[in-house]
Formats: sequence, structure tokens, C-alpha cells
Amino acid sequence: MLHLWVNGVQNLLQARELLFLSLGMMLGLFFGAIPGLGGAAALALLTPLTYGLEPFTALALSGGIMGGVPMGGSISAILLNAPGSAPSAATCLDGHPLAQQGKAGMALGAAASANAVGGIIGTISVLAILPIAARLVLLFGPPELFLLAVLGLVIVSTASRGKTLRGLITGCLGLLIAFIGYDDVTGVQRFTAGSSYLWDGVHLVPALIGLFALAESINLFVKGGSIAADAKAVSITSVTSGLLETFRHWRTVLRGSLVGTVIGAIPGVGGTVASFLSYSLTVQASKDPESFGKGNIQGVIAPEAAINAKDGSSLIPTLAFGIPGGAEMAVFLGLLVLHGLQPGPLMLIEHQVEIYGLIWALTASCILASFIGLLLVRPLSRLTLIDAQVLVPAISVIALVGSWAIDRRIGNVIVTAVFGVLGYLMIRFDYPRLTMVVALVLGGGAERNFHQTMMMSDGDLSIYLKRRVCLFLLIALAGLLAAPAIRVFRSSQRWQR
Amino acid sequence: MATMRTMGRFANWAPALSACVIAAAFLTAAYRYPAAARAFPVAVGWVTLGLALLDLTMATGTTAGRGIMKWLNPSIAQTAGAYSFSTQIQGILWLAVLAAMIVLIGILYAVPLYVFASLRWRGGRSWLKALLAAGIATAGVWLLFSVALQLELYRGYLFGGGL
Repeated sequence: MLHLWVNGVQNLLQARELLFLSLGMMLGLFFGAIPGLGGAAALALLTPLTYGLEPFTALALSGGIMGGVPMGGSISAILLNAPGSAPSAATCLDGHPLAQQGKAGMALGAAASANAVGGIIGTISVLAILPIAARLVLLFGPPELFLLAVLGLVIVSTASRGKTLRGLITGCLGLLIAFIGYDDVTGVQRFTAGSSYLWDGVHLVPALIGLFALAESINLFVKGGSIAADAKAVSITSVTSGLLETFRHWRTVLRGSLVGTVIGAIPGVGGTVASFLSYSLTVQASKDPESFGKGNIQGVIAPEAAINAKDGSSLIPTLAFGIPGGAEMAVFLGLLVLHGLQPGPLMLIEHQVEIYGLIWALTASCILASFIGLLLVRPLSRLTLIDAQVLVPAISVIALVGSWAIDRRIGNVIVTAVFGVLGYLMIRFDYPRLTMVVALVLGGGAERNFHQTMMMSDGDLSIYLKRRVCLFLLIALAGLLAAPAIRVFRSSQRWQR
Repeated sequence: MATMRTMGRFANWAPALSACVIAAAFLTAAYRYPAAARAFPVAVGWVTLGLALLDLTMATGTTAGRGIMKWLNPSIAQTAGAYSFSTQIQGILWLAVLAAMIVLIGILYAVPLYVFASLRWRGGRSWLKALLAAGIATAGVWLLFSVALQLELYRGYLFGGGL
């Protein structure tokens, strides 16, 4: 096991990998600091540009991005009360009041050190869990993998609390899109409408660039203005005093990191739940809960530690089962596929060096981002003053030209534009995008596993009831589908009482 | 005000109705394929249609609709009417125009034209600033894709680029 860790580090310590890691980290900080863009958009825009890179270099770049985004998100959350990405919203609760009290530097320092320490604790936890996960995945054959894909979709749908039905609809629509193209079981071309471009199906990366980067770009166009109201909003006082606060409140850091690690490993739940759960637990554990929301430094430390700790553990469901922990991981799946690394049980066995390298890249990036983020806090906060009308053309051009560059097919541009509009409509009409992404990623594999299962059992569906892991997955599926109804029933009972 | 109300009503119905139409069209197409090739798509198609019909029922606001919302979609937000309809259409059209220009006249002509037009007429920048930004954007695209990644930029359908 130790040699894998060492190999991962050695591979990462090459000049080219370090260069791309640093580049990714800087881009992560940049995108993280701009509310509305975040890690998913950064990865979506950058994925096509990694096409010519070695897979390991591409992983170093993406690890850099994912590690840098949380720090960038904290900067805008604390200074502007506008979280760069959804998980940083919990940091706003106490971070911005601290900034208003003239303690922005303290809040940023605490966020930076909590980010770094949380990232390290998250990495240690993941390194401990990975060997067990690698053994566990060997229990999965085609029937289990099919049910797992269905379970993944349902988990992500129910995780978008209060939108289960809509999550399931977009998931199913994603599956319908995934069926387009050559069916590798029967050899039939399906739903291509005569287009030769669609013979290979709807290309994943152009679709993801559209769903995230372009959709956010249209959203920014519609909202208009700039992200920060005026330059006064981004002024900074002192920057260093908060660094030590994290170590003074080590229990908060540890709690947040553990919450982040556990939540990150649950597919579809994502960083927002981790950061808010960590925040709420810290409030509950505090002797002075009244001070939260008014500028308590622990209210910054708790969510920040959780956000970075979850990044490492969310790699487990993403890599082992192809079920992403959140939007960022969903786009990251696209990057893996582009580089010929098919997420799934075999990945934990066949690509261990790449996985360990990625984990180290993620850790190095979040430590580096914490320091660089503190140095660049002033120029980064200025980004939020850029007019949306300048930002939108830049994003649109990079997204469309980037999607063409993936394999130099002009059809990619059309797919990206169509998914951009679709993604925008999904934002506007409040339909979750994540389930569609999960379906696009898992659709082909799910159908293949379904066919293989039917061949194994001569078309007998009861095979799903005869295998222990399948039975367990079916029970979990039923429980998840019933959960929203049970929740509503319970709350109505409580209300009646 | 009336437009906003119309948008609000449209927002309630349109997505679920679109999902129903897509699922129905998909099922119609799926039944043309051999049994083995359509087995899984047909199952998913019917599930999609069922779920979309539930969503459509929810949009009616009837007792049944309110029940579905309470059980399955309690926290959905209707924000479609929050922004001007014409601004939203413009946002989509600007993107569609850029995509169409890239396809028709190629990257090296589409990028400067779009950036210039977007900054001049949408962003309200001066002619000089818009021209400068267009030049910088084109140079950036050329340097990144043509020089660094050594890709021959797409020439456009009208100038001999293949589709």
C-alpha cells in the first residue's frame, strides 16, 4: 500500500505535473471567487484543453482546480456575502458579519488555515478508506452495477431535497439522451435522426460544458450588473490574525473535517450539506450559540474545514461507482472518460497510482491555495467588480471554442449550445441539473449491465432478488423512494400534535 | 405586469408539458427498433412519461396537484417570471448567434465579431474598447488553440469547413 502512496507522490513531483497543479490551483481560486461560476464551470471549461495532456497531468490540473475553488469561494463569501460556490454559503453566515466589523482579515486567515487543515484530515481519512473500498467493489457484478446506477440516480434525486420528482424527471431525460447512438449490445443505431455525428451518442464533455459553464453564462447575462455592488464592498483590513484561530479551535476543525469526510463519501449529497451540517453541529456544541450569525470565528472555521475535507472522500463514490458527490465531481467524471479512465469498480484496482496521485494533488492544491489565496485576496476580490457583460462573452467564447477543440468536431459546438440553453432553462424553472449529468454518465453502462444481467438469468428478473447485494440495494432503493413521503407524513403528524 | 403573470403561468406548465412531449416522441421512435434494442429505452420512456404526467398534474394546482407537490416537490421555486422575458430570450439568442457564426463562418471570424458586437451593443462600451477587446480575444484564441495546442481552427461551413 505504501508504495502506491509513494508512487503517487513521485508522479506528482515532476516539473510538468507541478506546473499544471499550480495552474489549476490558480484557476480554481479565480473561478471560486466569482459567484455563479465555481468548480463545475472551471472544470467544464478546462476539460477540453486537457485533451492533449497525459492523463496524470490532466488529473494534476483538475486536482489543482478542485483544491483551489473552496478558498476562492471563501473570499467572496466573507467579503461580499456572495458565496463563490454553494458550499461556501455557510461561511457567509459569520464570515461576512466579521468583515462588516472590520475583521475581514481575521476571517480570511481562519478560512485559509481551516481549508488547509480540513484538506489534510480529509486526505488521511480517504487514504484509510480506499483499500477497504477497493475490496468491497469486487462484490459487484452486472446485476449489482445496474441497480447501483439506478440507486445513484435516486440518491441524487432525493438529495436535492424537496425536488425529488423533478430530479427523477431530469434523470430520466438524461437517460433518454444517453440512449442516443450506437447500441453496443444489439449493434443498432438509435435516435440519431440521420446525423452521423450522433452515431457515437451525445458527447459527454460538450454537454457538460453547456449544462454548467454556458448555462451560468446565460444566467449572468440575464441578471446583468456586476457581482459586487461597489469597490467599498471589497476593501480588506488585516489579513493574518485569523490563522491561529483555527488551531485554537481544533475541536471545531476536527468535527468539521469528519463531517465533511462522511458526507463527501455519500453520493449526491455534496458540499453544501457538509458545510451547513458542520456549522449547525458547531452551533449546537457551542456554549455561546447566540453569538453565531453575528461574527463568531468558529462559524467560519467549521464550514471551511468540512468543505475541503469532503473533496477527498467524494472521490470514492465518483471513482468506484461513477456516482458523483456533486456537480464538480460530475464534470470531473467527464474529464476521466475523456482520458480513457472509465469510472467504476475496476478503476480502484487498475488505476491506483493515478488515484493516489489525484488525492495528493488535491491535498497539495488546498494547502497551496490557502497561502496563495491570502496573498491574492485583494486582486481576486476585484474580479467580482467585472461587469457581467464583459464576463459573459469571454465565458461563451471559451466554452464553445473549447468544446470544438475536444476532437475538432463542429457538432460539439451545437451540442454545447443546446445544452447551455437547456441548462439555463433548468436553472430558471428549478429543475436539478445534477441528476441529468449522472444519467448521462451512467446511462450507457446501466443499459449494458441490464442486458448482461438478462443474459445471465435468461430474462428472469427475479435474479435481482436472489443475490444478497442486489437485495440490499433494492431495499435501499425502496427506502430512498419512500423517504420524502415518510418525512412529509412525520412532519404533518408533528404539526397536528 | 400582465406579461409577468403570463410568464408565471407558462412557467408552471411548460417544463412538464415539454417532458411529456419528449417522452411520447421518444417512445414512438423507440417502438421502431428491434425488441432487444428497445427494451431498456422503452421502460425508461414510460417511467419518464409517468413522472412528467405527475409533474403536469402538480402544475394544475388542483387538490391532486397540491398533494403531489407536498409529497414529492415541496421546495420548488418558480423563478421564471423573476426576470424580463425579453432579456432571457436575448441571453439565449446571443449564445445561439455565436454558435451559428462559429459553424457558418468559422472561429477566427466569429470570435472578433461576437466579442465586438456584444461589448459595443450589449455592454455599451466605446468603439475603441470593443475593437480592442475583440482583437485581444481573437489573439488569445489563436495563441491558445492554434499555437499552443497546434490545432487548425475551424474555417466555417461557408468557407469549406466540413460539418
